[in-house]
Amino acid sequence: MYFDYLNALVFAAVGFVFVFANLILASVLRPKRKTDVGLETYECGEETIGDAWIQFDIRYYTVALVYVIFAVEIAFLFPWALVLGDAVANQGAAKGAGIGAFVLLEGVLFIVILFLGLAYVWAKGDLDWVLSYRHSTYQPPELRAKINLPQVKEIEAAQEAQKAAEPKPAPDTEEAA
Amino acid sequence: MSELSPYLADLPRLAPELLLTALALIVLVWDLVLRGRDSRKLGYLTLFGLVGTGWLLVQQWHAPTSTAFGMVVIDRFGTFFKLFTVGALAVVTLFVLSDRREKKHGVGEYFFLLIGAAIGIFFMVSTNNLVLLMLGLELLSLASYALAGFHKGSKRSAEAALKYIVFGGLSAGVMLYGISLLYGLTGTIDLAAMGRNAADGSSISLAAQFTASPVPVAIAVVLVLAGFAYKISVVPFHFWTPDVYEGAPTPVTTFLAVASKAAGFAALLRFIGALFMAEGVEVAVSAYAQRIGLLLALLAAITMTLGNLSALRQTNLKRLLAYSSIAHAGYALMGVAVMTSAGFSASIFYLAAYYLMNLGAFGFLLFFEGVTGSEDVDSLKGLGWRYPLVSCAMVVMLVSLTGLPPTVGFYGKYLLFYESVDAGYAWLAVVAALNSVVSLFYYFRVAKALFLTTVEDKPRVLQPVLTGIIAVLAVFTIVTGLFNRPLQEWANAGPASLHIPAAQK
Amino acid sequence: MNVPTDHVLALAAVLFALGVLGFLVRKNVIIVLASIELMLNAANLSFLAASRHWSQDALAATHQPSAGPIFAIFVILVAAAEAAVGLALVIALYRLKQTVALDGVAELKG
Repeated sequence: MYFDYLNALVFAAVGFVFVFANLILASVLRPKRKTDVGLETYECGEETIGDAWIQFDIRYYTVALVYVIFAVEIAFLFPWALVLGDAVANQGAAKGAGIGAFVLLEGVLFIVILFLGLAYVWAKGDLDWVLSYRHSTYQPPELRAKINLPQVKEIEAAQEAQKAAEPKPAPDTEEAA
Repeated sequence: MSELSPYLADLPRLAPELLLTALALIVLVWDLVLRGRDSRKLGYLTLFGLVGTGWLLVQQWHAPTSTAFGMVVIDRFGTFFKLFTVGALAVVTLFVLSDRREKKHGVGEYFFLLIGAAIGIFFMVSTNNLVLLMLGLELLSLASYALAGFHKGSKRSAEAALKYIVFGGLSAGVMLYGISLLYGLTGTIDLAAMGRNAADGSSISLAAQFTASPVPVAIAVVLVLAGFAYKISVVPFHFWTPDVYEGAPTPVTTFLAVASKAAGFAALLRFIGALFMAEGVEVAVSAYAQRIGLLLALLAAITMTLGNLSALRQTNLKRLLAYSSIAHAGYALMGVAVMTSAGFSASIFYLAAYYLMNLGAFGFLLFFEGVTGSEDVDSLKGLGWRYPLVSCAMVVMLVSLTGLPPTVGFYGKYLLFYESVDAGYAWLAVVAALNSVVSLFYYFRVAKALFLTTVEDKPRVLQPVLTGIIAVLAVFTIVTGLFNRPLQEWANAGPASLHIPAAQK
Repeated sequence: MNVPTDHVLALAAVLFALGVLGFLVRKNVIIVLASIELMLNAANLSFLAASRHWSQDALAATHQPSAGPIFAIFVILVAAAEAAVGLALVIALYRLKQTVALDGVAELKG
């Protein structure tokens, strides 16, 4: 009986051997020049900043929450779609049951209720990406500043105001000196 | 549309559940439209919907037992608990509306979550199908987690919710693993089929499995019982109870202590009834049932003792009531432990009494929070003379909670003690009686603080709705205590609809 | 290759035990929630193993082999919903206390 697992064992063994053999082979063959670039985690693309072992910002979990809900929705729609196909075509397990319309209606109801939930979350502003929590206590969405960056117009206006307010670098003073 | 007929024919049987679901969705959408303003309107809508649900349930009480979609059993046992759930929910909704510490806007989700929890309870108490039982239980749990943490800005509320979900998740995992073992042992997820060998051999009954291999069956049953023990906060799964009850908003605590706990008991009664006691369950199983009964009796004794002794040292009234509710879970478990039809009736009767007196006690707590803004027993001092009606009603509740005549609590305890002695658990009755004496001390402390001290006069805070509810509940507590015949007959309908033969000892 | 049902059940039991162990020894709430997921998935594996056992030709007609996978899908739903609510509560608490350690929450005692 335990012999059954031999192929699993062989699989595992081949996998280990493949990985370690390649690592060892590479370490023998490759030239040993250590440069800053060569020691980076990724050899192309973004330059890495800091350590990878940091605690991820808790705000990412909000994204994960929404993802999880819809991932599970799909898990329900697959079996439903299989039954729907059979029921509509009147074949397979649903043959003669005459439940096509009922199954379709159920699926539609399920999705409608789910989207009601999504609309609710959206309208409550809980899908907004929170740029910062400047306050130590919880701020409801409507009180959070959505984007803290000033608009271009505002920047230009501020620059104009600054120019106007600055005392002219009076050319005549220099002459006087 | 004729092809829909076999399914549409079953839909009216689920009318109460469908009405509640529609109500929940309407509340959710209307809350969006109102944008958090005027959300008290949603409370009135909820009350309106609950009255409709109650009316549908009364219709079902008089209808014969039937099954919808092969999964939902509509019988008097389930309808009894559904009716009490609707009643408790209506009272809790009124509590939310009259909670002086709750803000007046943005409480729309409160009602949505409460209705969601009620839908969970409805399915949980009326099914023999383990999938539906698990889904109902989880719907109730998920709504309760969110409700416990409803005050997002409060550290105590957030902590209560987190503790609740962490322990709740553990119990769900344990229970589901137990269910998976039961399914593995019997090849069915229907409780009724699990208990007995069908004529066509369509399942291997638990009894047959038990004679073949007792250990896996024992593990499976104990794991599932652990899941129920968490819901009804029986030792050793009670750790969350005081913290969650104290941290959650008071109306939510009321809901958890009353509706959620009674629903847990209902599912437990159905589980044990179908598996060990229903008609047609094999004789071989009765020895096994006795062992489970002994285990439950021990747990009941430990639970009531621990609950009462811990309540003795509490200075916070909310926490005191939390420990008291643990103790009462112990009393109600006595009726389950004796494993007789009459014991089940006694348990159901006691749960009905528990609904009445705890709704009243928590209503009083809410009233008094609204007056003093504190939960300490000490700050109750002298309130009895300023608010005589509410305080007298509270004394009635306390007398009932202790189990003294002429209240419904007395009669419930009397039934439980009688059935315990009758089934040979005299020691359990003695332990329970001693516990009742212990509980007198801390209940009396509350009454003493109310009436036996006087403080200077302050302007009175009027809370007419709460006063009315508490007074009505107090009257009910005495009236059902004196004229307990109808309630007892309703409770007796429970074991009958679970197919538990009355003569079985 | 045919793996006996006993072995699958044993694997499920080991996973379940690991989940319970993780729940008992870890302090980080997120790890504790992950341990709960492990327990639920152990239950799933056990459901599927049982379902495979009851779908053997001699047994399939008189038992409910399809109940196992159905139950497993609903357990996945429960696990996801619990994770969603759990993480939402963790975020709510993090906003208040800037910690995800279970030791760090101790407002309620007695």
